[in-house]
Amino acid sequence: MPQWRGASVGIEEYVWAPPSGDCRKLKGTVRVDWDSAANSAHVVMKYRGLPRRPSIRRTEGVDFFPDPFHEFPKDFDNGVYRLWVIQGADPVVGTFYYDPATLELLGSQYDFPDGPPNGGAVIPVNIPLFTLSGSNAFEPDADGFAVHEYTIPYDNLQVESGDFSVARISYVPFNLCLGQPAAPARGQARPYVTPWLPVGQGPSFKKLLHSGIAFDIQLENPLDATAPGGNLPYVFGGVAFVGGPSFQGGIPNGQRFSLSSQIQNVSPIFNPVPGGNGLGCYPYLNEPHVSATNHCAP
Amino acid sequence: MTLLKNTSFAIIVSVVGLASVSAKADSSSNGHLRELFDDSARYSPILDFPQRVGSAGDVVRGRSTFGLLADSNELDRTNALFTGFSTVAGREITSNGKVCATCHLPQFQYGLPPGDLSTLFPASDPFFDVTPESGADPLGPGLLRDHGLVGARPGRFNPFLAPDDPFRQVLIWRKSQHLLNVVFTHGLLNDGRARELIEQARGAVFNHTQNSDDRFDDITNGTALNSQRLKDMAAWEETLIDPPELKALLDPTDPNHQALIDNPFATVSLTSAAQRRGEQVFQQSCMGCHNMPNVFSNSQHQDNKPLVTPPSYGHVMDVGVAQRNKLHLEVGRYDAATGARHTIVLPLVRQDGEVVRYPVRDDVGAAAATGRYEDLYRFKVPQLRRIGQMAPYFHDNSAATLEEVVDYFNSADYNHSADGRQFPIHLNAKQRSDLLEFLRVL
Repeated sequence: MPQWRGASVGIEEYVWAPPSGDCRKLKGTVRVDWDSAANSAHVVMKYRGLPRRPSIRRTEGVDFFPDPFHEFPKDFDNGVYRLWVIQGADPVVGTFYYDPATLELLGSQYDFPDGPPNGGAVIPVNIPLFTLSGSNAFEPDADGFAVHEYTIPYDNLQVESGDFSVARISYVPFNLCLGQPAAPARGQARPYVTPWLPVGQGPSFKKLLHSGIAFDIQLENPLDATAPGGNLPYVFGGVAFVGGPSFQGGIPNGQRFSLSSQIQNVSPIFNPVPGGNGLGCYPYLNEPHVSATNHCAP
Repeated sequence: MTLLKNTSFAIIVSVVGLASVSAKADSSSNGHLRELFDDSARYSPILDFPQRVGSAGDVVRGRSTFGLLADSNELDRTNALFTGFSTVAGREITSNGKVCATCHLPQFQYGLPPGDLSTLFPASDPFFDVTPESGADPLGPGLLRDHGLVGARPGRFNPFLAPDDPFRQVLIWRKSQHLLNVVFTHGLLNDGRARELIEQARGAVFNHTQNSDDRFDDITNGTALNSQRLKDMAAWEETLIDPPELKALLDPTDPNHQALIDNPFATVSLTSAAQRRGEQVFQQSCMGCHNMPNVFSNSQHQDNKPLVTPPSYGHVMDVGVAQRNKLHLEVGRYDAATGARHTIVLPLVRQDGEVVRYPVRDDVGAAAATGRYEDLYRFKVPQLRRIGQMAPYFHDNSAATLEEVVDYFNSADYNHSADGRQFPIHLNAKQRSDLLEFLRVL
């Protein structure tokens, strides 16, 4: 599958661009071969034109919004890359708990595995979840080339290191007054991420394929690149770079798959990457849904 | 390149380098990119219907929501109007009185009959209110009355596009499709852009009942948040099956299921030699596309869940009908202030990443929804049971009779079209006659 900058990006993710403003040389592919009999899925990524050890600088309130349900650093240097394997849709539905007095999000069933907080005095809301898994961190050589490959079990998706299976992510209102249940992408939809789940809770590769599969490489800080599994204090760094989903025709270079359109069921399902992927490309925040109409306001 | 389609092992296409090339807009390049696009589709080899609502919907409620009485085919609007205050639209939603059964009439295989439709309803009937679909366009009333065509803008209710975005503005004229055997269709509406009946129903309510581009998902969903009202309607539409034996195709545990797959003509009753010869002609000339056994729609669909797949979910094809534009349908945007008609220019994206600014001069088919250049002029492959009772034909009602349909597929217009080149048809007079005999008894 060809990989293009901005092609497969989540809501409120920052899509980085090289400081040179030249995205023409970026190119990548991901190939997956699987063998159910041998219980293996082999992932090979090849990239060229990747800037080595880039720095990320974001501005709070502009292209960075603190997220209590998915904390990660706003700025960092010497960035490393990681591939995310994304399950497009899944029958997994998570229960989210809201405070009945303030209508603020308290967390989900993944944060409160022993049952809802407040002694059960919560407003439970069911919301679909996407599934993420990933590679270890890697970085390109001095010429911007990178090849990274790994093998995981076919019957149970897990991260490259084998330390965890998957994490679930969704886009939810942090306050019910800002949500729009009948049209979620038109209300507040902020990233929410579960903790990493133990091995054994991931879908099979077969299920992954039938649910739609997407890939994205992201940038993150190299806090502990030598640790098993690389840097896994959080699920993703909120900085997307090069990726692509696998549906018919893929996403052509210079276009971005719109998760908001997917959620709202409207088409076209893609639209142009702001600034394009040529000379003069620039970073942008993808489809933020931070603010929304307050339905509780008088 | 590793092809995705028809493989159960080792996917993930590699078309490296393609997107960095600025392709020339010549026909050979277009054909090459179209092949790449088609090869990237991973169609399921299994005859299944993952888009079904099934038991998730209530058939009785669905019939009522569709606008029909429980015990007759009489129109009943009691539960079929979508009105009330919408928090999504931020306003009160009113209806012009149209319900689904207004244009999908039970006595005409849940579609519209041929001929002058002014004889069907009184002039005051909501049926003739075309303002929601085509605004002030003066072509609207006549195209509905004389040809059964209604205006539609595929991107009209996309809230993420500016109101003047060409994808929201592009207008096409399409027939009211017959709903018979709709459960066997992968990809709904004439261009296949709706992946589930729920999507189709929601879009129809938005498009036919109000004069603004506002969405009101909360009203169409009903009181539940899970689109229950639309699911009910979809579940009922899924029961519109004829002949009834086709139901076995939906259920792999049905004792007749495999028999219907093994014998694609098991439910077709042929009584003459000409009909039997026509069946042979059909097998040789038509089943490249009409390959769903016993239904004769197209069985190909993307190998995953419908809503995971952006349109098109089913296999849509370009057979040249739209470019022929036999009725000379005008698709430019009508300016009520000046009376002028302006050509819409769609920014269609090719597989190589090039954006082609495409002036819309006829119905561009699936491309108006998907935004893909390779989807130009593609339409859904319709089912063919009871086809003799479903005139007029094609998405634009441009063929009045089955004879006209067969003659079209026997013509240079078809054989020079993108999919006509893949599936050429050349019939002699006897084959033509036999095929018609067969089609009439389907």
